[in-house]
Amino acid sequence: MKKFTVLVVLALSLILLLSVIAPELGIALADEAPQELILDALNLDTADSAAYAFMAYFLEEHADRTPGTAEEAAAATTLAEILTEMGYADKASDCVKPFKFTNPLDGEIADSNNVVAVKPAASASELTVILGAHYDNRYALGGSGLNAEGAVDNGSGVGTLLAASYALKDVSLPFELVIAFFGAEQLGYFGSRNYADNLKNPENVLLYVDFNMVAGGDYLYLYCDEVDTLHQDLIYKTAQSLGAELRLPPKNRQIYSVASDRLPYGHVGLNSDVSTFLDYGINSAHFFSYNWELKNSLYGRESAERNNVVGTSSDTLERFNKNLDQNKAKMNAAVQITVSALQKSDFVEVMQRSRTEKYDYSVLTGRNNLIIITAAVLAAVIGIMTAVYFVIKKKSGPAVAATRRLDAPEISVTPSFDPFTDFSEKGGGEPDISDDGGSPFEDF
Amino acid sequence: MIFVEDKISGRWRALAFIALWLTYSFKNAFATGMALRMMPYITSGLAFNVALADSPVLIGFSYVLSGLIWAAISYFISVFIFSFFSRRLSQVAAISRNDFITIVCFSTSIANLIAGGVLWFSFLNPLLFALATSVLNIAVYAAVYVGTFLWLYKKEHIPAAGAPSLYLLLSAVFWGYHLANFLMNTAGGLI
Repeated sequence: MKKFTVLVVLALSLILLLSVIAPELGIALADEAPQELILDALNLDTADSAAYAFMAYFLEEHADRTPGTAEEAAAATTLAEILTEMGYADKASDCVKPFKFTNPLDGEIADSNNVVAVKPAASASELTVILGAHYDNRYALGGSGLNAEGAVDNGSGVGTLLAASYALKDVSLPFELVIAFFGAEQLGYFGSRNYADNLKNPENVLLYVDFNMVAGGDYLYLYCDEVDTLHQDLIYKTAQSLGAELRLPPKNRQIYSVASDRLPYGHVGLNSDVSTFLDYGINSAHFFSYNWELKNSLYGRESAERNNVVGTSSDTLERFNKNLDQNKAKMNAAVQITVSALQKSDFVEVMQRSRTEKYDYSVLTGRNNLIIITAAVLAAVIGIMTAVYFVIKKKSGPAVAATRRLDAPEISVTPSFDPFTDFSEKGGGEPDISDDGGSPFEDF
Repeated sequence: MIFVEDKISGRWRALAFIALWLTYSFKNAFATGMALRMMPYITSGLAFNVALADSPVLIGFSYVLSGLIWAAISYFISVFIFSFFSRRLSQVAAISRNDFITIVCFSTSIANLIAGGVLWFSFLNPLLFALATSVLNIAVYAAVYVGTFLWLYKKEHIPAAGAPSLYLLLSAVFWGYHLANFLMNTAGGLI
């Protein structure tokens, strides 16, 4: 009986111990079905494009990612779970960074989330590289919305960033790597602004890489800044060494008159979260697909052959799949170029030099400078015009009679006439000279 | 009653007005183009805007309309200011209202060509855009107006006695034009 009691106690103790340590060891208990990991379900090792596999999964799970909604929050949770599975975080909830923003459509305060995960540097370093993409869409924006998943804008960017994160998860890097998915981009870059506003040391950021609309257009472009930069050169040469097709913005790129904080105009290269980081003076690179070569279109288009899909109800996965090979190629290229560039031996040095040697064109575009230049030019114009007036007045000498009709009476003319002072004068002794009263339009 | 004779024929005046219209269209081909490009970002009616931006007919129509409107505005500013000073000016300037308008139209046409060129160049160099659309514009027009006047003065097309008054008048047209331009842009911005 005593033996039996001891055995029962031991058995109970063993069960208790197992129930405590089993979850820690990853052992599923009998009543808990094993949860399949997202990464396992995607079969990334056999997929020809990890970026597309991520993108398709994400869009199928979260077609609606309207900013400020519960659907957008659910999408953020999925991204956090994927990053956690990759090993970028211990818990998915650690990656979700909530923030509030004022919805410009209704003026209401709304909630959104950034998803941010950090991979520490191989050795202690304060330097950082940020890879970012926005994950929201216009599914139900403004009521009716587009009812499209936003495959190009920005499922392609999300897939590309996840693939790059996957490729870099086990790579040892001499800087901290930040993976950031931004919310509420469609309403005004709120996610990236919130993130950048809270950066403790922007000067420690070596590079921000933005993936926005990476596939869907005719060509893959890299936009870094208004002037050529060293970091653009490094990334572009990396692409060339990989044999990847990557284009730089044309010199005569089309611009439009929407001002950012930094520039008095905009263009498609700036039309993304990248503009937020550029405003902070951070080296930035923006991968996007487009057709910047089209000459007969003022606004520009994504493709010479196909209609625009971005911002329309056609921005669906189904439509995206019609040009799947080209789209996959662009996403794969963006991943390869990014992963390869970050591992360049001179990457850190080039990024630091690029930041310090960057051409400062704020004298041309700074708001205060522009006011000063405008005032100076106006003053110069007024000064020159005034000087010319006095020179002419001095040289004009004695007055001559005005040309007049031969039968008109002789008139005397004030030698030096100033219409501003003499205008109201009605000279008593002068002849009554009035305008002919005819319309200047008569002869037309 | 006297009036000052026209020295420049009505044919030249008509030509000047047509030149003004054409050069405004040329210049606005760039300015209007920018405005059109901006439209998709102002409203969310993307389908309409894309159709508008892709329609050469609509774009061409907007150029012509814009050129016509600005030519008319410039002409009326000239007429208005000239009428304001015309009584005394006709006494001393020895230049008729019609001749004055012809001079204004021609000099504005030259300024339009240069300003259009500057705008076109700003497409190639976006950094120049900020300056091209603001201060360079004013400087170009001022330089052309003053230059035209000095050329006419040197060639003795303008009698010395009336030169200062005519110059003041031309300056008033210049600043009147830019004030109208500023007010229209501000009103457009507010709308």
